[in-house]
Amino acid sequence: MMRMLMRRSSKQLRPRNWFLFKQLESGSQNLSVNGITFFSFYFPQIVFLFHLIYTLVKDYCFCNFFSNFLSLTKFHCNLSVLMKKAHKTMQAMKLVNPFASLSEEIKSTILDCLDEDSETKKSFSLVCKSFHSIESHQRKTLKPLYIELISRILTRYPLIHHVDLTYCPRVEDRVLWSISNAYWSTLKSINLSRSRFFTHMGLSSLASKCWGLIELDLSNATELTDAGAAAIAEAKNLEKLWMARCKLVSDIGIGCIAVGCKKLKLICLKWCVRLTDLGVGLIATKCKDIQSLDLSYLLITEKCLVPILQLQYLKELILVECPGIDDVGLGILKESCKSLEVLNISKCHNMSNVGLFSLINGAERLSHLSLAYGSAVTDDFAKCWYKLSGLKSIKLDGCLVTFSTIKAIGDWCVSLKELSLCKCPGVTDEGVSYIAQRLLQLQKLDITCCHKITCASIDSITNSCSSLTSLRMEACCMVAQEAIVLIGQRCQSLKELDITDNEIDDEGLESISRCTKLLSLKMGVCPNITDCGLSHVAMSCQKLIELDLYRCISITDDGIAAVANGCPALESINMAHCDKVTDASLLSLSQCLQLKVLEIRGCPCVSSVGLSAVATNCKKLSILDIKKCCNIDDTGMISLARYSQYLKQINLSYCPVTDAGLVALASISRLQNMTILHVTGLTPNGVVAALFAFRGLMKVKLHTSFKASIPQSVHSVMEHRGCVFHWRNKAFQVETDPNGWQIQLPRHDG
Amino acid sequence: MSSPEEKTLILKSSDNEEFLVKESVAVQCITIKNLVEDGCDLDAIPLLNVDSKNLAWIIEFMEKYADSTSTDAEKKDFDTEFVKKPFNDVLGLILAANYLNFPALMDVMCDACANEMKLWSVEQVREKFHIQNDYTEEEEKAVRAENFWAFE
Repeated sequence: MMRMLMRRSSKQLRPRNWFLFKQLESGSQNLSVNGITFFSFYFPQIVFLFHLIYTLVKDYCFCNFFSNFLSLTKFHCNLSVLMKKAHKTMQAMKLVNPFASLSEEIKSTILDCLDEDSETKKSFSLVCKSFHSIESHQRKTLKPLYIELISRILTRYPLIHHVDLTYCPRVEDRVLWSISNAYWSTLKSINLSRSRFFTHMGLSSLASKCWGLIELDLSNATELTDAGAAAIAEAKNLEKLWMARCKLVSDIGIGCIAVGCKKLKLICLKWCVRLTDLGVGLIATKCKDIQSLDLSYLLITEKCLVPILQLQYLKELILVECPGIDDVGLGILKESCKSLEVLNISKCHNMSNVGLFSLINGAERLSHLSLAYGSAVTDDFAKCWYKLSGLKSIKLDGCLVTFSTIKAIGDWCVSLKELSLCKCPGVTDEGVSYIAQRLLQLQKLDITCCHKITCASIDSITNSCSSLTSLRMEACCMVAQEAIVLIGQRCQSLKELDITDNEIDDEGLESISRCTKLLSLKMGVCPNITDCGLSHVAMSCQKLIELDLYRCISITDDGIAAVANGCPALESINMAHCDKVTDASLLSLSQCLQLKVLEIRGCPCVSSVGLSAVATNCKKLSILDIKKCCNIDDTGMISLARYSQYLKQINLSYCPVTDAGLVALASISRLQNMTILHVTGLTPNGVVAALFAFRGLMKVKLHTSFKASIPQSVHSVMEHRGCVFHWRNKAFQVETDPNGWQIQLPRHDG
Repeated sequence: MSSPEEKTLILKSSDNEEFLVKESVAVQCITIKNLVEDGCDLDAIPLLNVDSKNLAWIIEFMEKYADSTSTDAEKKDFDTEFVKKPFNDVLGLILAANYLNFPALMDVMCDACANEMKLWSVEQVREKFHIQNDYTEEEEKAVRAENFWAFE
């Protein structure tokens, strides 16, 4: 039909129209734009043609036909002129209001670029009703805050693929039923890992209605029974399933899942302690597509490993602390899995190198091996490293590593990129130097708590490993200051450096500031570094995201100001027990708009003024630790309540906050985790009032002295909401001599 | 018409300006690629919805991306400089990229547009796009409340 029109149009126009037509053909999905073009050029011809036919049929008279033809031609010319004018006006309009000509599809594409930025998308939806509609159809991920408001959201957003309920501690079956009704055709993934109170009936409606469901996270569903597992089995297309800590699920339940979810690729059964070889064996036999299997802490034996190692696509096998797997049992295994790439047998105390070799015999693609805190690494083992020459990552944390083991690794595992010798007591300079000279591709090295290492090791490492991106050497106390200078001079591709509890001074820091690509720098317990050294780092390491200055007691406001000015991408800073730091530091830090984690515990000179400054500007603040900040009071809490809407976790133990301050915090809708030990300004009534006001709280740490004064009815209400109390019995601590903590090694906060 | 050497196409903008582009570079635009495959490349290819200003930029972009010697980092730097244009031009380029079906340019420009929008408030968006607020006061309040309280 179109081609017929083409032939009848005037010859001069033909080449142009032909190209237009071809363009339309190829760009037909852009119909809205091309449609305008089509009509503006074809319409006159179409109208003319139909008018001509009509006239001919009507008149049957040549004379009339001729006069009509002339008048129609005039009409055609006028129409043509009009259409061209209209086209020009439309083009002009585009210049004034270009956004109007963007199709819904393009607007949706622009919104796709904002997928990580929910706030901007929300602003978009407020512009006008049509934008609201576009945003409603574009959004694919939903993370509800209050479960009571979910029904409105389900109507507003009809095309959700992924629902994340981690902010909702109480999710009942009716909620799951509403979600499955709303998103039966689109839902792909749902996260219920922090929610309780749903039963197998809710799960059944999800699994059976949402046929596209491929990911389901049910970790921590400690009350889930076999009936729940049978409900999961109805999700026939399920590919990824996390069931960590589902303690009540037994072999029967897992058997149902094995039979029902044939397409499973990933399953995590960590801590599902009722499972035995039978259940796990069924998964391995029925779900042939499994790629990743986590069976940590289960009481399984080598019997289930037989079918597991026959899985054709198995890539990852995690068997942390499986006491039932031992050498004797492993001896029966003929051959390992050829496709296996990642194996983790940390804490398997009954497995030695003999058992390990039965497990990896024939696993040619093995690239990641973790033997942390286990018994497999012995001198005998050293003879067999040649079988593991393809390894890229080895973790030997806490193992009794001797020189022969390290020598063997250095000799054979030449493509090694990542090596962890954290807390290995036997590591010496001889070993580290040997390995450094041979593992030239090493990118990540962890020698935390290797107390025998001295400067010589650091010299070797920095000389040979030029591609080093991560170095962790916390508590290598024999390493002298000179070594740190070498790190800065030679390892300039470093992105992560942990020199906590090392001898380092400003000269060392000045050298480290040459590592301009640093993202994470941990220098806890370095009392000799001062503002001078810190400002070198601040000026050069502009990409810094994380900075740990725990107990760096010589740091003052000037140093922190330098960091705030020089590191705009800063997200996490720890200034705990830096007692010279005052409000001025917090004022400077308020420039770091990306700040998410702030730890200022034990800083007596900061007050509510500083905290308010941070709260006002750092809108992304989500973790705050102000324990023992004896000058932060209710005013600080009120600022947080007003501005820090993303706050998830707060520790205000020992702060002079009263009931009013605590209740103010309740307006922060995302607060989930709160520690309020020894807050002397609180009364039982105040705490009860606050607890009622918090809607999304999941975990509260309180002193046991409050337990008796909170009525049982309040306990029930909180439990009903999904909030868990953690009672602590720590006595009131007055800060003793500041060096008393040095006896504990290493430093790890809870 | 298959010749072993590099063929040059003539692209004509809506304001009749002609641009010479190598075929291997121009076929990044799927619209042009289809035209060439259908054998319509004898004369100049008229691109009626793309004016000369946009076409010049698009050709610059295409040439950078067709160049196999430039690394990813270089391309990223080029993109960063390329998107530093007034917002109306960014939108114009998006429309042109859509018309020509040029995915690489579309991605870069949509990203630039999104990044610009991140910095604006609701009122600024309305101003920039000359959009009338058709919400009533109650409706707007309800949407704001929903946005704030109901989900992240």
